[in-house]
Amino acid sequence: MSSLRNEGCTLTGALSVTTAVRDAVSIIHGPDGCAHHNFSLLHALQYENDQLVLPSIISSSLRETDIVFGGEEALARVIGRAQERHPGAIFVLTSCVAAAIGDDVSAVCGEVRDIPVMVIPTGGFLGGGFHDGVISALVSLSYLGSTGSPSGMVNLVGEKNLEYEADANFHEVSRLLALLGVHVQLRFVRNCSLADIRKLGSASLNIMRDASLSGVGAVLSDRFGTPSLPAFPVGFEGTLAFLEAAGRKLGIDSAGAIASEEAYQQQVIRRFADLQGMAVRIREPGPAPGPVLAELEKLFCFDLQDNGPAPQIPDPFPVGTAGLSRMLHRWRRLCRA
Amino acid sequence: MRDCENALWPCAMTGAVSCLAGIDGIGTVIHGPSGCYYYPATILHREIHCTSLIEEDIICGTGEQLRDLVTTIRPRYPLLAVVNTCTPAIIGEDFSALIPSDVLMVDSPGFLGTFEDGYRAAVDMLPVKIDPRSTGVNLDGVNLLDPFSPGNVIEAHRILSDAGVAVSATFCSGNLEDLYRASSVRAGTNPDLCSGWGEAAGSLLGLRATQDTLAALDRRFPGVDPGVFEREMETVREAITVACGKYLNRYEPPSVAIFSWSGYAEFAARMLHEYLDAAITVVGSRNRAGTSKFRTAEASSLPVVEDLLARDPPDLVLGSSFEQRLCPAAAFVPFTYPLRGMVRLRARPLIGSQGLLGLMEDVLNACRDHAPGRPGGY
Repeated sequence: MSSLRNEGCTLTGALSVTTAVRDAVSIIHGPDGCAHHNFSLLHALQYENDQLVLPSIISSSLRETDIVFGGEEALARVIGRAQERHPGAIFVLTSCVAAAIGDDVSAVCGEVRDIPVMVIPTGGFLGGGFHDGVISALVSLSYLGSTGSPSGMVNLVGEKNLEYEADANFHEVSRLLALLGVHVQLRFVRNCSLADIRKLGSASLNIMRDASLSGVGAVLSDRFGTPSLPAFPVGFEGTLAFLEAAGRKLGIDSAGAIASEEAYQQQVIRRFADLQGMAVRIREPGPAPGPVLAELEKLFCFDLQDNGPAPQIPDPFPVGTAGLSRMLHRWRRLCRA
Repeated sequence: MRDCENALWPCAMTGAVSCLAGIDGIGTVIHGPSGCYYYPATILHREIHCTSLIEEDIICGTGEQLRDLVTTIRPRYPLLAVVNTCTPAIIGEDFSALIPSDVLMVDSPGFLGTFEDGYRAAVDMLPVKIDPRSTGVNLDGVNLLDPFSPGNVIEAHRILSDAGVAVSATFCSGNLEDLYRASSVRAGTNPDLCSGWGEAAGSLLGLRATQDTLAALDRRFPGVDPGVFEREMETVREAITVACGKYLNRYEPPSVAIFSWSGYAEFAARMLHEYLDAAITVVGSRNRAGTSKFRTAEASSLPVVEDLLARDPPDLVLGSSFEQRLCPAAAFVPFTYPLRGMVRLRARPLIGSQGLLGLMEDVLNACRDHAPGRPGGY
């Protein structure tokens, strides 16, 4: 079965992006059930992440009569209702129901003048899967960005907002960039405002969350001329390579940063010296990039077995040196069990 | 215009699945995309199957995908049920020639109505056979979404067993086989989820209602003994009266906002008013609000709940983690789905003696923890 069949709804993917804009409202042009499913999911994840602000998702409440006669009036009504709240922007996301009945969503949204109304073509599963929704939202929201002189800072693009470790990964990337003397200008899109997004085009470098967002990186490069790195760093060597690549793209000598990080990595590796020779079963294929597993096998001389304990390989794979350290702690628990 | 912001209650499709997936022996298939599957699969904690439709299935027809899944999993279940989702329902494909006639087809797409509408659509499709000779009773209103359902089932069995009454079928949990020998009489737990299978003998929600229900069963069947429960309820009343009196010796009664299914919320309001002289600021109903002597409102969206809580801020909230999040300063008792950010492992009833005792215990403890003079007290 293809992964697209199992990856969930475009709406959820797009909402994971649009609801991270604080001063905007997201409208689902679809039944209330779609809004509840997504709102409930985001509510649950925010509890896990100790975030106190609930997202704002309005539904056009499509019912059977709208299916028969068209849902454009329902959409116009709900946009009017959203306008009463005076948001900075309104994002309209289409459900599979709206796509199936063929509503002209762009025409309805085009009639609104005083507030930016942006149609994010999702179409529920008729628009692909979760990841397509993320990309569609990121590309759409990039139109809210303005060009500007390179600031010397970087944008982080496409952080996985539903990921439990999203902020831990952000702190790790920020720590690495600080070694180069570089700061994050914008998290595109995580807990930011529309004013923040306007700075999108003035970064000196865009760092994509992972390689699957290369298309978004290309769009940003075309529009703003900003170079990009394809992914957050994974693995010890990968983290050093990340520093080297970021330094090169930003015109910064990275030798000092790399030496500092290498020394830190040696400390981390020494902390896990008791893992040397651990009998493990590495399940392949897993979410871990092959070179990272090979690197760990080499560093810790794992005794690879067919039936040994199988350490968990997190998906997505942990970011940077700190991510590897957290993962190795969990592996050590297995070793002690 | 309906309020449509941050909807707090699941759709009709989820309601239908919550009915079918509760019954052992029924394999439940969601005919739709994986996005429609993950939500009920996550909240109902049951094995559910999905045809995982993608766009090309809609273009080419979804029947083949459904037929393949039904063929694969059919040997695993005595009965299969397929719940339709929005887009296949809009397309209106006819599956009758593709899947076996004994597979239940429940047309309950999300846009069709509420969670309760979907639940009833599925209940109506169940292959129930009423056994007119049965002297048992059907247990009604049991649902996977209801945090009280596991406890209600245990409490109902205890009370009915003490009275010498057997449980025939449970709507909707237990075994499929039980549905084939259902009773002609039913006793309710959650008033908002009536199955309609069997004649209503009454409800087990509350002491008086339980007493009346057992009396009705006594009139109907030979050998029913309501005496055990009648003796027990006196003890329960006394215990609650003493505990609430002790509380009131020291504190003012709380003002309370209650959110849940209409019947549950109304029940809690009556009990808190009766035993604790609590002021009920609002009975907020996730479904259609019933009649009440208290101020009632349909509370199925976040802004409405926010407004109800802000208009008359309560000392105590009974509700979901949505209400808990909106009213962090108030004492809180978990009372309806969803209950995030807390660990809940044991079965808690709301019906019968144990249900009422548990409710009052939770309320008194929450109020004491927030009482004046205590950190965070009201």
